[in-house]
Amino acid sequence: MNLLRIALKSARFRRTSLILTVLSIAISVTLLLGVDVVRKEGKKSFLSTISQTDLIVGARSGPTNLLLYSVFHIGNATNNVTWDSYQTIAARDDVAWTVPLSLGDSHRGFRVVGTTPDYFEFYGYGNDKRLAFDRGEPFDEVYDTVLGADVARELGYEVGDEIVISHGLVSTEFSAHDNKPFTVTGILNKTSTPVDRSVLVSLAGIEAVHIDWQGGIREGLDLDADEALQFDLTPTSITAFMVGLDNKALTFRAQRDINEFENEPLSAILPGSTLAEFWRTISTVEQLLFVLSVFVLIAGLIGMLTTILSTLNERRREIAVLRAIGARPQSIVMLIVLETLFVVVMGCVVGVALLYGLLAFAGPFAARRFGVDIGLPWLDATQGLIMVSVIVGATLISLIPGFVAYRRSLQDGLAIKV
Amino acid sequence: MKTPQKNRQNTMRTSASFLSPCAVLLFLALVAAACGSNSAEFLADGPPPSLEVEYGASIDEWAAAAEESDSAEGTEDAENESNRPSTDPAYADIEWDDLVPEGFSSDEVWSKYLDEFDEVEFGSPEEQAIYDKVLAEIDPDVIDPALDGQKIRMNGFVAPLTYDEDIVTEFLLVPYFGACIHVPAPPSNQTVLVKVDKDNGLTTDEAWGAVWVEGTLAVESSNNDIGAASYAITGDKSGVYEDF
Repeated sequence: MNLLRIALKSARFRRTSLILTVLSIAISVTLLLGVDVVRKEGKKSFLSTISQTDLIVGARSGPTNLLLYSVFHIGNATNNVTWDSYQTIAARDDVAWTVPLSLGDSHRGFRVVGTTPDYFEFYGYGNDKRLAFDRGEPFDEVYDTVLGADVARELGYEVGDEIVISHGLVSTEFSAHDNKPFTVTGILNKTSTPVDRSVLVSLAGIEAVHIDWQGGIREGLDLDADEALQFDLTPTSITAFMVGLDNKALTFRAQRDINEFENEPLSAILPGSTLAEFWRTISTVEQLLFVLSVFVLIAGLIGMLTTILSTLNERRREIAVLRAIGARPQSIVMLIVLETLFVVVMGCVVGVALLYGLLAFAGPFAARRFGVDIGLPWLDATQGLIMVSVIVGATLISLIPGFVAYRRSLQDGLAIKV
Repeated sequence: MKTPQKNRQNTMRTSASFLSPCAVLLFLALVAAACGSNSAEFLADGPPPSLEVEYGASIDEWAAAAEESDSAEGTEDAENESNRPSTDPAYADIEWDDLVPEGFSSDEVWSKYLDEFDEVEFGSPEEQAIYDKVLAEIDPDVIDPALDGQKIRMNGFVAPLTYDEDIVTEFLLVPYFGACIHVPAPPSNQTVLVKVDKDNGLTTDEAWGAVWVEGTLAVESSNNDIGAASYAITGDKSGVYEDF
């Protein structure tokens, strides 16, 4: 009969309270690990949203705002960029390519992005990954559209379907451009970036649907799709544009020139730097979350301590019996410690299982809501360290009731006066 | 009360040796130490310490401020090997001024015109004309072709361009803090494009402060009509710069 088996047999009698203790440890472990996993994976996913683009240019506003609305489709532009200014900058000697973006419409909750077919060639994300078509091909005609992977999957669209886009960010009947439906020509592969949730159309398409809209509401003309085609559909303004330069060493000079552009107030940002800057501003929140999780853990451990101390009274007879058959006082301490160790290890195992369960279940929701893809990563060294700290901490705490049991076992005889 | 005799035989074996208290706790402590030597990243991974440095500060000012705050806190980072560049003699230390070829640095250009400045009146249009001549002659794009292929080590600040997961693998190295965001741009011969692989890249927290880079400098000509060439480094290693 070794101590561990005695501890386990004894634990079976108190299994209800111990199971609850295991759960409370499990929840704090899930929280601690979860905060760390989400933070790290969220950061990696966030930083991979856009790459291979040297500058993003939009009407003058803060860099974070420009990044968020142009790349993440969060928030709104303060103003548009005139077509003239865009052409002037695109014609610079140091510019290799540009991709214009026109925002402001939506389709059933998904943002519509007016752009050129160059978008599919030059938009990069992650480690030099490019957009690829799952089915179909890029838009060609004025009323063609390409859907991101999530749009097609959630709304059940296929190549050849017709969709109607709406003015503004919420799709309602009265704001729909319903006399000018678009035909889906292509559906993109999943990228785990906000592109998955975009509806891509040509700039001409955006102009066509707005041809009879003045000041944000539909005016009396009510032109249909074919009539709109007879107008000149060159845009007068766009929302933002992406820039690739010939020589990256000239990035700062190009940025300064654009920021000082005389014809119009513009801002140019380096996406890489702005992504890092933005993530840094929320690092305080990350640390706060971590501190909160540590407090939850402490609460869980104190709860466990309370449980063990309160059951010690019930176990005085059991301990006395053990002492009577020859257990040393140190063994009594070890009994308590082993039981706690068992509870905590079980708590960690259940906590990890709970964590992966939550990631698998809630991960897709988070991806949709926040545009960051978390997946199911393996636990890394830091998270292993967190778990070991939990185990060590709990074991050390269990020395307290262990010591109490030790003292009592020395004083109690078999006839205990409870 | 009499204690039981020590050599009374126990009817119960109380513990196998591997369950003895010391062994268990020692094992746990060893495991904790082994993992802990990785440095508690989740505690240290926060914003960099706030140094009293303003945008536009050079490496020397940054290092001086870091040294001040270090000595104020009494921290010692001597064991942190990954933050020190190798003392590999194959890499030559170079300064930002070395990137500008002989005779083209702004000091040298100014000194050529000092005599002319002495001859004209302060604030006159002739002075402005000379001033314009000087500025026109300081060519921010001129590079030193002799540096092509050299293995060098240099310090600077980072404007990240490309990430591999959360490691910066491609960035622009500039001479002063904040060049990526606020202060006017450095000339192209003071902007170096650095590429490192993921193992030797920088974390986003490291990229906020001064860094060092070791690698092979290359002069890359651009393929447009401006004809400006620039420097690029294929980095072998990089890390946080500490004054030593």
